[in-house]
Amino acid sequence: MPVQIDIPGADTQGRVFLTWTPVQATARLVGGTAAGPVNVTLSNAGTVGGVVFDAVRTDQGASTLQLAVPGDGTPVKFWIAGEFQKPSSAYGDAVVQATDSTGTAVGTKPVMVRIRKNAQTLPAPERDRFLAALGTLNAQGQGAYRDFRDMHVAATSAEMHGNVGFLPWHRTYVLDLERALQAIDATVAVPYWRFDQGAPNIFTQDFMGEADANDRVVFRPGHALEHWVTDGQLGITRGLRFGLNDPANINNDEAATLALGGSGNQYSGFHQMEIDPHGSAHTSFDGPINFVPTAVRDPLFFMLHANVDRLWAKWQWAFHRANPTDQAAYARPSPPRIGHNLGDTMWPWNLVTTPPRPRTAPGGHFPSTVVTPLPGATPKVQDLFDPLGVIAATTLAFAYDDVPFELPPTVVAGGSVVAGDP
Amino acid sequence: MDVKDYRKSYEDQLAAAAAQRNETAARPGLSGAEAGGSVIRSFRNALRTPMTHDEFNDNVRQLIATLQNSALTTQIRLAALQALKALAFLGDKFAPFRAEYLAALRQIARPGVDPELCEKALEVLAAEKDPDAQDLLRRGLRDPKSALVSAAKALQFLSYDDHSNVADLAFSIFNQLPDLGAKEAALRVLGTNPKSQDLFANLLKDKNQPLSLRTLSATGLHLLNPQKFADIAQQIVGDHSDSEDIRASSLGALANTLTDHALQTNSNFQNLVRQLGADNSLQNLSAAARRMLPKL
Repeated sequence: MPVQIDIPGADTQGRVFLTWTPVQATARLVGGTAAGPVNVTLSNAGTVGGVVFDAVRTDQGASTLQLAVPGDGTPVKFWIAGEFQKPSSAYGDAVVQATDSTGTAVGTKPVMVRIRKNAQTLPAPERDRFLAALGTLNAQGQGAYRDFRDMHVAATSAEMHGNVGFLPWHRTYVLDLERALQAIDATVAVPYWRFDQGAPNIFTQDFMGEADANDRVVFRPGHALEHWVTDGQLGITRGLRFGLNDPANINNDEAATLALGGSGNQYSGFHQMEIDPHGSAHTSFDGPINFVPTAVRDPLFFMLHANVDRLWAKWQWAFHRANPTDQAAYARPSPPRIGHNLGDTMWPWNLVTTPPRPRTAPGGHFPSTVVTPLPGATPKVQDLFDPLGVIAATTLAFAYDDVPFELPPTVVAGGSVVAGDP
Repeated sequence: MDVKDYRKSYEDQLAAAAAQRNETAARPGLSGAEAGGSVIRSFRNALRTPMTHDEFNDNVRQLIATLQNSALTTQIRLAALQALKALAFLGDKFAPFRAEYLAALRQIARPGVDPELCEKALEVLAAEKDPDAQDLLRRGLRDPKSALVSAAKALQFLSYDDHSNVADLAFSIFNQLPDLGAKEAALRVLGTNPKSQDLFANLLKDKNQPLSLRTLSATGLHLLNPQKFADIAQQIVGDHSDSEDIRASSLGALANTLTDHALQTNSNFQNLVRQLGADNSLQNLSAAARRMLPKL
């Protein structure tokens, strides 16, 4: 008797995208008329992506799960998550399979474990899908990339720089772009450029381009970014001022960045990463990416900022700092500034155009997705703290390949909160 | 991997890195004994721990002083400039020093200063839309003998300002200078000038032109007149006597947009794209065709 597996958050084509965070799913007998429960085993029958299962919400999912599925067709609940460090490369390369007691497959459900990966080691097909979506978003200067370009200019800089909201704002910004790319190709996630490591596979004609003698970025003919246009300027200008096999000209590698919070792992110290490695990574080049008003002319911006965001996500995981009410997880704006307090809505997604906010709000509200209700149409700073849903149980629907889902010490399997320090 | 094992492994890595950090100085490459080197080293060390307001201000002041000190080596002054550019990302926090920073840059963006340092200073000033710097760049384009940077760089720097109106200069550079880099830079800033439409169309069709000029012309023509571009691009893609690279480039431009209804209903063109996509002997052209196929 066939078993139907239902996982919430399917798109209009019935596709399901997972991260490392468990989601509650169901299995049920189709046309169930059996006298009693039917025992089935859930496992992963995929070729690349991995999934794990559990009966409760936990960070210890297993590769198989025994289920007694009611014979009358009543669904039985279980939890499913992407298997950490086994992300997908393409849709359907992770497959949930139900087998009966004879080992016969009685139900399957293809899924994708969609994860942000290191661009340096990104497989070519994933790289090309990302580039194709980015090229379509730009559409030779006529596409929605214009809105992203218009968000990050001199007149809007105080919304996002020089204060504690730097990290939440840019997390929202990268996620906004990622959702725009996923509207073009749902299998795409923004890869990150690890600027503390060599990147010979990134600055190539096949990926983010090579600079010629005048720092004009050159691509392989037919490349999706070959006809990039922003502000009416044709192409991309970017001169590397570090060795292809070397880190960018930064001072703090990943470990040093995570140590910026000091012995108490305080956000008030950690957010100094805005200067270094963030600012130093930007200024490791010649060209527009050097400067706030023009940085987004270069699409490398988003891979750079995906890494900045990954470092924050890693710091949050390493020191259990995903709860915005934890005083060490954030800091008061200094100087005071609207848009940087936990409860403030963020421009431009709040569409507020009265001073001290900028006079325009390009791009509209934050885009929704069927995968998650977060961070909402008008995100607040506090809505961006828990990408994997370790505190709130609802995710932002993105994850990094080296930042796992791990329940904090105060939460036990199943989701109950116990007393203790955050 | 079990998440607890992963955590343990990562915490061990952090501990090992912390021990190593305590034994080594910040990013090497500058001698502390070299005049000015101590400022850079001090700043880099300061980046390893949270800076107080006063420490931040002291560091910025010392970096600006280092940048404008002509007695120091270019290497030290370039390192100071890179640090200041990173700090400038802080916006309001850096604002109290902005005037002093720009004044220091104006002292550098002049003849007689090390050319690399001068060029970097001009780039920052141009990005700040500094009128004096823009004037210097324009003068250099009109009178190459007085130029502080190459024509290609001057056009690039002027293009940081969307309203710099360099079209006339760009046309002049394109027509007068034989240097390919200068011609490329000129075309790159003509994408919003309606007068350049014919130039782009002619260059794109001309098989004797360098690939880079034809490719930039494809981008520019598409921006100014998408329909005209689509017409020419279809001819190029189907022209087996033209170079594979410009055929791939033209097809790639069409694939990014494909809002042209004539293309979506042109069965001959669609068949051509399918054939090209299946032809593995045509590497770039085939890849561009395969990128377009899902949109047909």
